[in-house]
Amino acid sequence: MKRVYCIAGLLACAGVLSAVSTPKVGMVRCRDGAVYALYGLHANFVTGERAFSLAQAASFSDQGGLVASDGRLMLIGPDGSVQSTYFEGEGSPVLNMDGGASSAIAWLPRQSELLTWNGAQFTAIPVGLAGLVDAVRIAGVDSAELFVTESDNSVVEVTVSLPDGVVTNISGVPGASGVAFEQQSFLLFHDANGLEVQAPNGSMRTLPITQSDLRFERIGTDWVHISSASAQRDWVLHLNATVLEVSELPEPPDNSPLSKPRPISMPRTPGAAQ
Amino acid sequence: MKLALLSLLFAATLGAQDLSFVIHDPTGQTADQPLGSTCSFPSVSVGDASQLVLRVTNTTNAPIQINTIYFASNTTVFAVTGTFQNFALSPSGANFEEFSVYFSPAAVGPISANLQIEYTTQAGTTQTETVPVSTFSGTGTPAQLTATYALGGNSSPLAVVTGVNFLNVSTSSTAVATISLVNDTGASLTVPVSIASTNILNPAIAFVTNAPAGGVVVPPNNADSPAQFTVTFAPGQTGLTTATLQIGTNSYPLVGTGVVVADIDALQISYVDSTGVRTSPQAASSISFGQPVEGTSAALTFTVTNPITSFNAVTLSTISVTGTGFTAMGLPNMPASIAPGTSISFIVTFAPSQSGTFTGSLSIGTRVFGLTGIGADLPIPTASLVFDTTNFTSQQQPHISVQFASPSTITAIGTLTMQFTSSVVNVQDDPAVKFLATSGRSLQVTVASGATSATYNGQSQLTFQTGTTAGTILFTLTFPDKQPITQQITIVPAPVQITQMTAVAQDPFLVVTMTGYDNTYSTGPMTFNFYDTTGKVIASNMAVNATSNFQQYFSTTSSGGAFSIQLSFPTSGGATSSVGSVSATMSNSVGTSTLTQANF
Repeated sequence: MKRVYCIAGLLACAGVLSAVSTPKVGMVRCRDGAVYALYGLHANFVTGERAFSLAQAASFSDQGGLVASDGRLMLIGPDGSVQSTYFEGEGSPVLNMDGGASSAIAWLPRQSELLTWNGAQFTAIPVGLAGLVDAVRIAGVDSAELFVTESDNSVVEVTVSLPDGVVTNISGVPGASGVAFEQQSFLLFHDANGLEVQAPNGSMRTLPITQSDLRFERIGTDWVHISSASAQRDWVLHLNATVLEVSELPEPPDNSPLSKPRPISMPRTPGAAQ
Repeated sequence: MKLALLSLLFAATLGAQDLSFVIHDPTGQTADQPLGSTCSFPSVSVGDASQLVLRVTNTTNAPIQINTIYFASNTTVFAVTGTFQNFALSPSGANFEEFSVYFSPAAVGPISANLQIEYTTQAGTTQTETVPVSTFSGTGTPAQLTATYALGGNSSPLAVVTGVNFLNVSTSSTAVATISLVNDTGASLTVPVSIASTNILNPAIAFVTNAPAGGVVVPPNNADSPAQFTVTFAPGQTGLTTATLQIGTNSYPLVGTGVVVADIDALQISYVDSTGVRTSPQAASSISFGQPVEGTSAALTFTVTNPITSFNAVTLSTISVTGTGFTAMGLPNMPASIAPGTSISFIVTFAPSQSGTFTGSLSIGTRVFGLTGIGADLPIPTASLVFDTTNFTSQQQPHISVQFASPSTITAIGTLTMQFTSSVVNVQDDPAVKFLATSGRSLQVTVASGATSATYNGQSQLTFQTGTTAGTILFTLTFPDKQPITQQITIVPAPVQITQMTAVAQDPFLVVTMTGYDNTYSTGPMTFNFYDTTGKVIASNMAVNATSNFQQYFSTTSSGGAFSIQLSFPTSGGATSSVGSVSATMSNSVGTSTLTQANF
């Protein structure tokens, strides 16, 4: 960090603090099941150190993340350390963390439970729900939203009140087929044309990802990992209010796995001066 | 040569009743027939030949040893071949000896000869007898094609039985026989001519002909101007060597003996190929290196031995190789002296740079051998590397595909590699430059039989990243035994690209974060404009120079030219709330970036 210049006028005449660093995308669970740090830019990714050697699911924001590994659900703090562990015994939970720790939520399909973080520990909430849950997120202080694929491949959005687990609303996602995911205020879903990105105002843009067996996992606040097991392909979606970009995710490097997983630092909180 | 099964004239039986002769049909179409006291060949053109296969068995109760079977007269017309010396016939017909008799008239008209046999019986006392077997006769008819040969100033009829004997020739020398063909018919003849080895263990032939591959054209009635070709005996080894000269349907033996005249002639030269097969080359036959695929090589290891029976050491002043694609390696220091009983070795390689036939020569002192090899092309079509864009910049994920000019006839696995060379001083690499499918710079591609493109993991469009460093990326496609194909793309230096900019007011700071890349690694100067919430400029062209920060960053980063810079502008008096947005440009050695703006 260095003082490099002084600005004057309306702004106070003081040194400008500047720091240059490697741009971090976030944490991504690659096809080999390991969770890696991902650096770089859109279409210019560099896979970094391996943080977890084997995970069944992962979801990261810029402030932390959730990792499911070997029946354990771990809450990862901003510094990359494990803040809490919950033994959920699930094979493949559905995770989401799109902000701070309070946004952490997991759907445990085997137990039909929602798992939320109350600031000190995880709390399990039974929910009477049928269908395949594709995505889950905290929708407010007292509700969660789940995208559920019905037996006819249609997708419904289910609202569940917290902490009692009562389903308060079910609404269909028009046109969606098989899978849906919410990234910030955008709705992602697959239809016959490809992967649709629907803005809050209803406008849509179709991405040329035609596979229907898509899985979404959050890499960072603005980045989503999209994968297709059938096509053996992975994409990275960079999506926020000003950017919509999709590029391909590199395979994990052959020599990347370390002998021991090691904690990694999370991407900085935007605006945090250094 | 004609094989004739004759109608036989039977007369008296064999004087000695110890042996029984039959005429045998090697084709098995006719049963063996007893050989009478006389036997007639069919009429045969002069210069042509007819053959009979005979078998002899022992009818006694005691062993008989056959010493020799021969014609007593007219031996240039009648001949016996195929007999073993001192062949033992077991009692009571338990085994037989098979041999052939030939009739090859040298002149028009009837002629006959007696076939005789000398054998030794072991019944009681050992006794050697010579008895007549049968009288063979035949008639020579005018020849359609008459062959003569000239060797050493002498001209002789070319006989099927005797052929051409080149006698003794130095292993450093050659002897040439000129074959003349006269056509006695009224129509032109095209006569195929070839030489075949008679030694299945050594395919090298000491004889070579200059006859056209398509055959020798013999004009009608050309007695005054015979059609000619030559047969050259060029021994590469000492000792007797034979081959067969085929002229039309007739086969003529070629015989010659390589001898030692000068000391160097004694050298025994051999080579071993990659499979371990040892061959003794003949000077008349080019040493073949086979058909290595272009871009690869074939090697033969030569050994030159001075036999222990030699009197003198042999000094070689030079060993040299000529011809494109041929190279000698591991040669001894020259001149090289080879004492009796010792040897030297060296390697000759053939590395064709392209497909086609290559020839050369190997000279071991005065001993010269021809070299030949064929550059083969891998039976997959010519491949090319095809990109889905021609405008390459940093921070791209273009696709490359391997396309073939025509469907591949085989399934093959190749390797596609990319090599990045930075054009930025002191920057060696950019780890973001890689194939996404492997996160590396190499991947194996497979082309299936019938396919016109190669794939990796089922994908023909292979994605790679161009990174964020100026330089070149060299793509190389290699298939085994095939010349590599390369193609290079250039990532030109560019102004800084700001891909994302955020602005956050954290009183008393205005925090601006810019993410992007500088593929020249030379950025540092930045200019900022601040605007109020109505868009009015409140501070313009505020320069910030972060050159030292960037230089320190670029010297340690392993992420190419990608960067994220965060700047905190201090304010006073709660001014942050009045600032609505900020715009910025960044400069590097190429120029200035486009203006990028973000709202607080």
